[in-house]
Amino acid sequence: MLWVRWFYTVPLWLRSVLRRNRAEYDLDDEIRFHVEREIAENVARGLTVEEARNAALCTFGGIEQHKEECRDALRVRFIEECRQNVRFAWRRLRSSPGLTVSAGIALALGIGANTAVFTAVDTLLFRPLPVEAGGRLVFFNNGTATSFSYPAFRDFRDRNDVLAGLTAYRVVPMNISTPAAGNFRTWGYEATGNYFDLLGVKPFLGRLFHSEDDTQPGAHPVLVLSYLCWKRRFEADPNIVSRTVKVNGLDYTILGVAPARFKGTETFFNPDVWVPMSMQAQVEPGDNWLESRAATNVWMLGRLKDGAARPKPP
Amino acid sequence: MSKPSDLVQGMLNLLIMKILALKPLHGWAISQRLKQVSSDVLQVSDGSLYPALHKLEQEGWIAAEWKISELGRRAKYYSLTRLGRKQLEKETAQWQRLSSAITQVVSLKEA
Repeated sequence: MLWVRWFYTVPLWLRSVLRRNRAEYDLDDEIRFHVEREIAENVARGLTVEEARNAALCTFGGIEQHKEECRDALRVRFIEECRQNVRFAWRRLRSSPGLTVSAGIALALGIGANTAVFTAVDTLLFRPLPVEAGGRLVFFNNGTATSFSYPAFRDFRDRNDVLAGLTAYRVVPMNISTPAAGNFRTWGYEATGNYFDLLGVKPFLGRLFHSEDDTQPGAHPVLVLSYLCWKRRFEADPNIVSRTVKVNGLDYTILGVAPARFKGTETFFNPDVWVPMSMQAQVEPGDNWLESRAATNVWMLGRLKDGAARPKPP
Repeated sequence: MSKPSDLVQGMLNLLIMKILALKPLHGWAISQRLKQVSSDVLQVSDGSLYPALHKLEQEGWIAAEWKISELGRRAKYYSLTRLGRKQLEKETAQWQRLSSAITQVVSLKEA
């Protein structure tokens, strides 16, 4: 019964909501017709037009009041209907608590899973690196391989005409020892000297390394700390710059601290330190691969030149 | 006398539906028929008819359609829906039960 009535009433509601002016006009016209018809009737009975008009208005009663009552008919009905629906839904839900609970759980799980997946995907894929113009950065891969040899990196860096710059880096475990923080093993990046400049990262303390800090193999024992490492391992020491720490037994000078929001260029491998790529042989003792074309050990990140179009995915 | 009491409202609805069961009419014609059948009993102004009509329309018991009237201009004609016909039967039966019960009571002879 309820449903059958909707066949008649839903169009009325829609009209009153979507075409309010039209509904108002119709109400006006309906009542005007009544009064006109009554006047015509009174005139036919022998009254003058003026008398007929007055008599018609008199028998009708307050026009505005009746119009408002007509609008009320719609509103009251609508509210009543909503309340009935809510109560009906509530009763149905209460009468089958098992279904209600499982529907609730299903909704909660569905929404929760979607939120979790979206959050993960958003962090992993959609959010650009917190660096300057992250949208202009391109990551290199070769088929399914994402790593290249250092000589190949130099070739790409020196022989392309679409990149404003190309940097290479590698994630490596390092042993760090300091008088203050003791010894700990952590993840760091070996990165080419242009790494921070290409990304547009500005130091939080001291300075970051540049291309001139990465020229001669083994000649640049300097490093940059991440903000978190500085805070956790070095107790946020404001005088950390120029201090010395040992990395795999060799003394390195701390150049500075990276800003808090810059956590490296990989999602899960957030480094504690960055050292110049030229220190590769010292950081990885016994494994000097910088000149080997067979050792595909570095990842490459380039910045497109202004005007260079991002290649379309195949 | 402008706003009908609940009892009169119920009778008004019943009468409107009964009148419309015969043929579709516009508001003014319904008011004329109402006066003819019950002018002395139903003391309501012409205007009160319209809220009643709109409520019945909201219930889905009557439906409205704009048609050209005898005056040559458009008027809103109401007709009874199938739902309304059932409701009319129900209310008529109720009314008959109620009125016969009351008739019985009021016609009891005082002993």
